[in-house]
Amino acid sequence: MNALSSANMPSKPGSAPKVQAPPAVRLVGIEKWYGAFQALKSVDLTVHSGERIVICGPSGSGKSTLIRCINQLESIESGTIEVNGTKLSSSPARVRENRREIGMVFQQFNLFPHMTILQNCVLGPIKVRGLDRTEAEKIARHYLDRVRIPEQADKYPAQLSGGQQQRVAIARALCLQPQIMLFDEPTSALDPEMVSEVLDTMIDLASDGMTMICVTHEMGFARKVADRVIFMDHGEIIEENDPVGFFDAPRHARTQSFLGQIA
Amino acid sequence: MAASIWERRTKRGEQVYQFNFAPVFNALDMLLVGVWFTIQMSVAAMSLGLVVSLVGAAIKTSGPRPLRLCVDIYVELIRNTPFLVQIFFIFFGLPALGIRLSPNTTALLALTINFGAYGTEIIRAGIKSISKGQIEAAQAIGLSWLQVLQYVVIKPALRAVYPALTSQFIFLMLGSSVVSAISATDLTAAANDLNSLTFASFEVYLVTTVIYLALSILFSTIFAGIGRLCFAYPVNR
Repeated sequence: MNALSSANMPSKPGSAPKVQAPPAVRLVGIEKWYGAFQALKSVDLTVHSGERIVICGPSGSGKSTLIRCINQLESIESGTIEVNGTKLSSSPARVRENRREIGMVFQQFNLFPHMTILQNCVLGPIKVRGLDRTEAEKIARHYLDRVRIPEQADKYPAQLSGGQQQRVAIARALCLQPQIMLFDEPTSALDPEMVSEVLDTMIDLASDGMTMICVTHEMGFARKVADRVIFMDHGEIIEENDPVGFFDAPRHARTQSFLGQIA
Repeated sequence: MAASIWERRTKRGEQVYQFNFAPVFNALDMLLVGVWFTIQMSVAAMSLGLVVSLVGAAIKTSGPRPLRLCVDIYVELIRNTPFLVQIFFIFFGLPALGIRLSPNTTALLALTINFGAYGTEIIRAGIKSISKGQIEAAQAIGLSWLQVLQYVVIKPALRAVYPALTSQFIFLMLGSSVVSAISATDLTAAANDLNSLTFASFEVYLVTTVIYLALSILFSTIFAGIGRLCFAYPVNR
């Protein structure tokens, strides 16, 4: 993981930003059901502004569902979610307002295949933020530069490698200048040799103080970047600790066995 | 006059038909007027029908339940009744309600409504082929329902069903010959008129057939060109 060693982190685990009101995200008693299956069981989680959270756990543990609730791609049966102190509402306009403040990166990149890289990046700023094209393109080029693929701006997604596509997806999310970034297993669909370029981009983002909630199995990344690591199983948060404590002295038996399996 | 066109010779008890295309070619302008109308009417019905289809498909995939039910009824009603009866209903039936339309307006309306039902189903299939991830990514950016459809879903959806859509367009153009039944001024109606003037049925309908074939090839070529222009982006699947 030489990608990780080169990162220049502003704050080490343990020196997480002190509590500022309001928290970036506050989840209280979240319950989520898929029919008879309970995906989330009374989950509580508070994420402070500028904090980097890594969520891990076995598949089906509810970690993706949890972060998808934050930008309302999933509805919840009970509990409350606050983003930047505002309680989420299900009215379409409020949902869109909430999503505008939250960038999301998916496992499958989900770039729009019929648009060039640049068009992918300016869609949100133009249609959602109401910027004019010149301004939106300026922002888009800035972030494409930031993820180190400015020269691909006029290509189509299918002409890029998986790693490049995922970096574009990160740039596209950043173009809305969100306050919070959600990552849903951003490296799981990548070929191994492309994982580090995406992680580098995420580390770079973290070093800028972006609030990040990442579902990932990249434990090197978690150790390096996370302020807190959260372990989920069967829809519950089992353990929550700073990376050193989490990896070196896991308290819970299920955490221990999970870490044993992926090591 | 008829005798000069219909020259029949009895030769060893067989009737031999003497081809004579001259009267057809002499009155070709009559057919060309019909051709022009068929083209205009088809293009108009394709355009309007496409709009109906897009709206219908949008409602069917993500509209509110009552509207969805309305679209379902419309699609099933049209797809399960004969086109000719639909035309007759509009042309002969609606005047009873005080709605009186000219043959050409009726033809355009009937073709549009008919295409809309089939097009709705075709485009619905296209929309269904778009992965959930695409829609979620668009929603995550903050796009509204309509914007998601407009900017993210429609183009790949149309690309996915473009071959089916174009063959439905060709069906529409060919099916438009049915409107001759209410004396609209299309190619088939012109052929019928020419036939009753010349009685050269074989020649008239042979030429008409060739014209329809040429029109089909023309439309197919144009659609292929439009497809290459609009859906040129590369995909890896």
